[in-house]
Amino acid sequence: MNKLILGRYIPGNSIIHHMDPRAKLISSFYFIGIIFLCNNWQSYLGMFLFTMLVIFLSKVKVGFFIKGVRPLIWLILFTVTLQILFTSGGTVYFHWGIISITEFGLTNGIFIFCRFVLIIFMSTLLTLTTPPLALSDAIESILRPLAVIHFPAHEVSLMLSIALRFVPTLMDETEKIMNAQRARGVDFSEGSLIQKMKAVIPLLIPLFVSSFNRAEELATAMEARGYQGGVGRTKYRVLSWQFTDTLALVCMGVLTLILVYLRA
Amino acid sequence: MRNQWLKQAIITAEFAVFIAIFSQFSIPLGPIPLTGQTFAVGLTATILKPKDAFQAVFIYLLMGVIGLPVFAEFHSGISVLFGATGGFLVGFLANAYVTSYLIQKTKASFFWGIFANIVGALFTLVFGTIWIKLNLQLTWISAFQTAFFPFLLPGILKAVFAGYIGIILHRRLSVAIRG
Repeated sequence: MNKLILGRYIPGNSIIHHMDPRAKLISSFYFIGIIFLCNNWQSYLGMFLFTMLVIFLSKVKVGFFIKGVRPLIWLILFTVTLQILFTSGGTVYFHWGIISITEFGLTNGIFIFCRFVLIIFMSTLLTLTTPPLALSDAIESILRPLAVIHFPAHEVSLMLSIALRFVPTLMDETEKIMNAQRARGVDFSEGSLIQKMKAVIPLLIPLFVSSFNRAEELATAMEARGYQGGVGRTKYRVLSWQFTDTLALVCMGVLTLILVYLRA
Repeated sequence: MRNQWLKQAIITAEFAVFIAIFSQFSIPLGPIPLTGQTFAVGLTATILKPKDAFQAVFIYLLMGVIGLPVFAEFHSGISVLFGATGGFLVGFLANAYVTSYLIQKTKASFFWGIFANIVGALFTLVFGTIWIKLNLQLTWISAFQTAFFPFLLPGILKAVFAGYIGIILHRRLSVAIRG
């Protein structure tokens, strides 16, 4: 459960760590977008080399990235298997009922595996080198132009920060209430289906009531300190866009050109 | 009350955290383990107003995007959202809004609560199926075979569960919600 609190940020002192979170967020999403352009070995190799270069620059051990893949391995294998079984075309290697393993299916499966791993590496890099709060600031900053269509960027960012702050609080609270109800004789794992369903109620009611009370108190405390919403509000953590950030976006542009060239 | 908006925003944030916490629980219910994720989304939709329920799920997804392992089994990151099963996560947004809207428009009775949750769960499944079809370039039939039918029965079971518990909570908490 500790993982839920810390996120996955690893403090460090590299070019990637010092980049503006906005640049990192945009680049990561952009990378995931252009990886769908890849359709042959050369383009995947290009993307792989680029990813390795960025990982090298971040000075984070490669082991952390492999660890990032491990929890998703079943999801990946599931996807790859589906792809292999349900793609048709090319030489048929194996055929049984509606299932057939074909040349196209195999290549597609391998490509999807590579795509998955690269996307995981890149998004792991983003979250390993950027603290959650910095990313929350970046999201607010990126979404701010959407205010034109009445998208509540400040509100979303506020809720996100409050949510991050409350993860440990609410986890403690859940644990505490579960223990308190256990002490009163509630059994969360025994009994019939209906009994198990009903056992959740004495957990949820105190949990929700206390969270409504907490919301009331926090709202009052914030207003008492002069919180008035996002308009005209200054920031405690100010984001600053540096030369390296522009350079990163230029690199992404160059990478796109290379990909378009390598594409079959 | 002046801070009504702020209070609502904080409650929404707290529900996003509940979804994150409940996603890590699974209650053993015979052969089908009840993962808390769909249950928590259904519960949030039953208790909160449509806009708040939608925002709570949105914040939950954002928490995942910025690297907190809030998705089921401690997964996190953009990769899950963009992966083959990301459609189910996006479908939660539709699920939360539709379920909450239906409950708001009808009497919050057990029948309507369960009905709304089932409709919402179907939305999640359909989103997930369309997504998996497009993501893996499957045919419609194989997409439905892999992403829809196996999850239909557990999905409906969880929806009934979430609707039933949700309505009980809705009744008991209605005073606290209206503040």
